[in-house]
Amino acid sequence: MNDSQEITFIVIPGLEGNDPAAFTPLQQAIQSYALGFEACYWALWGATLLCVAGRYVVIPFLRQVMRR
Amino acid sequence: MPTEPRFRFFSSPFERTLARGYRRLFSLGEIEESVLLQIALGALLLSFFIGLSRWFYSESFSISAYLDNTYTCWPYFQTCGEWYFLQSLPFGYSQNIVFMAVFALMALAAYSMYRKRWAHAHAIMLALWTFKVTILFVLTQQLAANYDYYDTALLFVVLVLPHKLFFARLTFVLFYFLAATIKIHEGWVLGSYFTSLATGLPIFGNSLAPIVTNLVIVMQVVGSWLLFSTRPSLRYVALGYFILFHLYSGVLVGFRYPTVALVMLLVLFGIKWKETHVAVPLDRRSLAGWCFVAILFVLQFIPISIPGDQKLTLEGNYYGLFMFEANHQCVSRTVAHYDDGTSYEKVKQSADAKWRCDVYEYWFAISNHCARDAKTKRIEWTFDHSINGGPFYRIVDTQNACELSYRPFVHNEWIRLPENGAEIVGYALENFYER
Repeated sequence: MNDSQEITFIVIPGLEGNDPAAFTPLQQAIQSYALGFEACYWALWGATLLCVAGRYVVIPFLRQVMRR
Repeated sequence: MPTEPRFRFFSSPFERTLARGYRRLFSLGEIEESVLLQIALGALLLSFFIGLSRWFYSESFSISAYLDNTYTCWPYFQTCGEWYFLQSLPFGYSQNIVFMAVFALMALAAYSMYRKRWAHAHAIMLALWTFKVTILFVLTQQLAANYDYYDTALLFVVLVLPHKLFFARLTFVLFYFLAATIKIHEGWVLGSYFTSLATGLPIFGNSLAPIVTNLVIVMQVVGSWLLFSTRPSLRYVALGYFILFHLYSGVLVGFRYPTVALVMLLVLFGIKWKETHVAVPLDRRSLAGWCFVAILFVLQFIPISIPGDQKLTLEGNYYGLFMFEANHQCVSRTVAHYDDGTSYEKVKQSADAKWRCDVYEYWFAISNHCARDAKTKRIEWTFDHSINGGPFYRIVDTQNACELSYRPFVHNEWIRLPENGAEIVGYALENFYER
């Protein structure tokens, strides 16, 4: 993943001979947008929760309370 | 027609009143009237059977684990070891005897289900649930695994809550929805959890990893709710996707997870799927169910609310769903200094992606060592942790770990965060999922 000249790779027994954990070209392409992806997913998660809870729980509950 | 419940042992009026109270308290009528709930109870018994059989020889909650300091309590009950009373092999038989008694109970539960004696089956399953929850959430943290969260939570819903079928389905969908929160992280957005494995992402390969992992996130956030859809086509798509998802993930996780997740998916959403879209219960009886749902959200958000990357610090990680949160590698180095001027160095390393490298677990053992060995003057400790093939951060660097304490629900300042100066001490090689 990183090509530091100063800091070495930590080779835990059993990993001898393995390659450094490195990104694929697609990962490199989207790496700089990762935070944006995360923000979008949180927005999607929150919006989904609001939609589901609002449509099927909160609004029907309020209607039920108003009817009383 | 539901079978008339029999209470052979409840012949006196007082006992009959007790039995009626039990039936009302646990809404037993729902189980007697719903074939789906009856099948779900059987499926959860199967999951319990497989789960408990994996614990049969476990030393995690045995007296020997306490004596050898190889146990780990939950952060919210750090004296759990003082309550251990069972001994596992090779040091004793008591744990095996208890587990065989539990095996007999499971067999009895299966027989009761076969005979459609649902009150008996319910009572036995309640005892099994109590047994499992006591081990899982009271006696040891070492056995914490999401598939055991699945069956204990679902069985609680089926045994205890009113509107059982609705809340069982909702809980199941929430498992996907809440588990998505741990995947909203660079490791899943980029797919580096899998590409940092020497064997890469199964079947699809590393080049497609980000597409596959992002599809999983989207389906868990949005697609999971389609299981409730009134449109059959959408429901089929969601059901088909999650069936394939569980079969696929089984390539890595094995039989245990699909035994509860895939089976319960099919029971709750694959059979009688036309009845899936039912009215949402909003009456007084549903209050307990909604409180349970709220608790699931609170538990999932405890680690998220703790400052720092949950995947790196693992603080609060096990309170909610945490499966596949990150690919871990770590090195823990301790040097114990004794009163006589001697010292002893110990290095523990792990490159197993699924060994969580929980800094708390290492601290717990060190802390016990300090408390038990009066000759130990101090213990130097460094802990380096890499997630998803990223750099190793030195998240613990202390001259005396004996002075540290661990708080269960907030950030512990001695666990250093990259943003607060935890330095990079090395870079990771590709590791392995199972070693």
